[in-house]
Amino acid sequence: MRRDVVCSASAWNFAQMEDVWRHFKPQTPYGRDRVAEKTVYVEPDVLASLYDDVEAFGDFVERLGPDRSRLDKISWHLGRIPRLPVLWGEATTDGQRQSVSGPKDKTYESAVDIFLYKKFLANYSKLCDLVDAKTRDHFALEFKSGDILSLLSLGGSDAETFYISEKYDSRLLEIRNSIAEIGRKIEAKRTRAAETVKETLGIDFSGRDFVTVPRATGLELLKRDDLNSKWHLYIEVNDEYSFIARLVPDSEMLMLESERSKLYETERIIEDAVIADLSERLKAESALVEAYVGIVSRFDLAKSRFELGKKYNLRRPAFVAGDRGRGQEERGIRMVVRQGIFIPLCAECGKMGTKYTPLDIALNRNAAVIFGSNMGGKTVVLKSLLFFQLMAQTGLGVPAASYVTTLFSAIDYVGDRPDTAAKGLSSFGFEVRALSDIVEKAASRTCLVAFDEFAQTTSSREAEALLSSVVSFFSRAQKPCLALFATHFQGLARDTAALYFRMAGLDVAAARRYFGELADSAGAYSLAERIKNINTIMRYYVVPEDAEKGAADADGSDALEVASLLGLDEKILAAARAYRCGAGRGNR
Amino acid sequence: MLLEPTLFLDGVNLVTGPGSGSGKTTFARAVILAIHRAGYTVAAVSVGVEGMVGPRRGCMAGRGRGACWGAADASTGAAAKDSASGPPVVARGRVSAVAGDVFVTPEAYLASDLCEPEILDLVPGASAVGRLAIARARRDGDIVLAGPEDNEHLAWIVRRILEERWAKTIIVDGSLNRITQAAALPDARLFYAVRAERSNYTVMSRAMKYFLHLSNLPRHSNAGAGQPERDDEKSYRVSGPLTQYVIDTIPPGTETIIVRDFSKVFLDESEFLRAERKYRIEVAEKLRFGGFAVSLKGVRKGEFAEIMGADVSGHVVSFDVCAGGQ
Repeated sequence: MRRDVVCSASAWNFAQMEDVWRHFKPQTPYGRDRVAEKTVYVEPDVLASLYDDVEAFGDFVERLGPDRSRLDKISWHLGRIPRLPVLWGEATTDGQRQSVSGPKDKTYESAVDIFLYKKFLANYSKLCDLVDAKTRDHFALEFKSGDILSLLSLGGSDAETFYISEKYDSRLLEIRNSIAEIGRKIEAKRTRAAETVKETLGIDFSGRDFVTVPRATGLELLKRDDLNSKWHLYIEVNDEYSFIARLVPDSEMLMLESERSKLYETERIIEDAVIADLSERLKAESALVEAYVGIVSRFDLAKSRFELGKKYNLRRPAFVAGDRGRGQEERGIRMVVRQGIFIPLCAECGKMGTKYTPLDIALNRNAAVIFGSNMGGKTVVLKSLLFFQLMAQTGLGVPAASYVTTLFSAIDYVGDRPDTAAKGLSSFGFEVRALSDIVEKAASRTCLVAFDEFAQTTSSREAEALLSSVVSFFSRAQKPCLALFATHFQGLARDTAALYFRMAGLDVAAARRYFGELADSAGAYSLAERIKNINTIMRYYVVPEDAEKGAADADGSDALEVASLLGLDEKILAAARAYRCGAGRGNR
Repeated sequence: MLLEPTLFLDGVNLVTGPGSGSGKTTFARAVILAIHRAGYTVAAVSVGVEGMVGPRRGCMAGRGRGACWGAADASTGAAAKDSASGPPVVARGRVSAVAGDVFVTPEAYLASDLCEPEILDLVPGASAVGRLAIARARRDGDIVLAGPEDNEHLAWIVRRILEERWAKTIIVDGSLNRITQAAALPDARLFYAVRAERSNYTVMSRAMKYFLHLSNLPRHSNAGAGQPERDDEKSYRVSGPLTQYVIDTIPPGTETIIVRDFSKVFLDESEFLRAERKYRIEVAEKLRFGGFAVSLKGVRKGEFAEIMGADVSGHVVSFDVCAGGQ
């Protein structure tokens, strides 16, 4: 199923999938087509087949050992596989050939089309030679078109290039010899005429059709009455300082050119017949070629998935049945990640020189809420989970020690979206609209939805009420689903059917040390340094909500400490702390 | 007198010019002829399609080795009529190829190319005239030259020809006033074709001086790619074109402006000189300037050379590629 059917664009963007997807680079045009589609698969057997392909390719690489020359050759041939033209059949809407064996309405194709088939077959046959028997069997990489490739190889100075050789029709040899002979005669006549003109009149054509001569020379030439009859020269004014002299063909030359033109025409007719014949031969091969396209695309994608997997240490996920119970309907959802790495953030941390904390979480209910203060990492948890799921369902593999999950037929996101600006609805309006769509989807599909700070733009009491209701709804959805919520609203009603987590938050001891240093340094830290310091003392892992807190404040919120770390005025902070402790509560 | 072929051998040569009728196509074809007559083959690419030809063979334009470099009238730039065995067609695009030459041509005209073309590759995507093929002439004969309009595909073609060693010498008949193509082509020599007439020759000589000045801009000492915007407080690296707007927004304290190469200078002469009075302007990459190809109309060579001055005229590789008499 295509991405836009299973996964919304906003979910794809929220998960920052492009950061990895842009490194998924098959070499054939067919593989690139698949990448452009961004397919998110929901069929377990299709996904199993994709992962099997990657493993089969990996096994092949392992059998090759340290010698990478064969892999280089495979890459070289894959990179030269061209997109075949649509011959004999109709193109489908996605640009693929529907069938190459349908009725044809053309009498022949062009030499360029034949060239493309030759190039495809030549490289495909080499690929088949380069893989070992096990790999060949797995991918069905067999080449059965030796005869047609041999035929096409008659025309071309190497394995890929193509011209219409005399070997296809012996009449071409005779015609081409005649064309060459006439060409020599014409050339000899032109050369002789040009040399005579140069010796006698001092005009040097040097192979040019016309030349400019000084005005005085031009005027002298114009006085001659044998200019055309004897020298076949035509003179005309160029500008006030020069004339143009042109050699014109004599009657014998015109005859020769006329004769050659006829030969060109005959040659063309024979060449057209050769192309038509080759085209017919290719048509007979069309079912095989169509299969080759599918095989090479599959092999190419397996190779590029394997390479991406090596680059990012991706692992095959385990898919559980979800609602596809065996006999008895399974209502539950499972998503268990161990040491998961959200690649976009991990890369960013690497650049900034900060530590990245891998994600461990186990979800087995339909709704999970993650609380946390600002900059605590709860949004990153949501992004990570969507990212892992999309990596799993696109067949790339997951950057985690292990990942067990359910297959979702709808993946969505509700939260801040830059693309919703200026469309006549407020942020809240968009959220409610998106929620309504998802509620409708959830009636018939297995949904994975990330709600990031849902209803944060409305008043906290109303937001908490609404959010509590949404959590409750998804906890008891008709179809199994997984609704993930990141929020800083602590006042949610707790639903026994949902899971509640929080980010571990600030490391109190480290924060206190830092506050001490901050006081000593009298604000010498830059903003970048402050952010880096927050990263070092913030614990970016998820714990159950009721786990021992040990965080900086008893309410479980680190917001004031984070504000302090970011350099907010101490008087404002002190007042805020007082309000939080109750001194400021009540009506003002 | 023919051009000196050694000026162009073993490399990529891009011919461009300031406007229509500047003589770039005439010059490009003269270069091809000079190379042929020295016994070498060449790869030729045009930007866009040079005119149109009939779909069928049999036209009179087919000639052998060393024949004309096109049926166009060099003095007027007008296209000549070609008596093909189809409807009358414009043959400005016809170029005489010799066996072994490599060229880019629209698929639709492959069959009308008289040189028994061997298809070497297909340019990705499709141009306004359909698919473009890279082909090699298997015998002498006329061809239709074409090429992509955009720099990316042009660079792809040149790279393919060099990588596959289909040719050592490449002539690109470039777009008008698009020096940026030079930056897209690996280590290309840039030739600038100029047509000077009585009505414009002083303007042209100034334009040539300005062009030469730009081509001689010094290379920045820390010119590597991917450098930060500012090497230090006094230098400012311009990532895109250098326009008057960019000049107006240069941070205070800047002494040196670094542009990628001189093709990125989008300032007229007076704007540039004004900027140069305030800043030192350097380039990150030097483009190789091959020289000027001048064609004169109603102006004597000596007269134009004098107004250009010795410095500029020393960079002229040809004053009239059609000159054939004493």
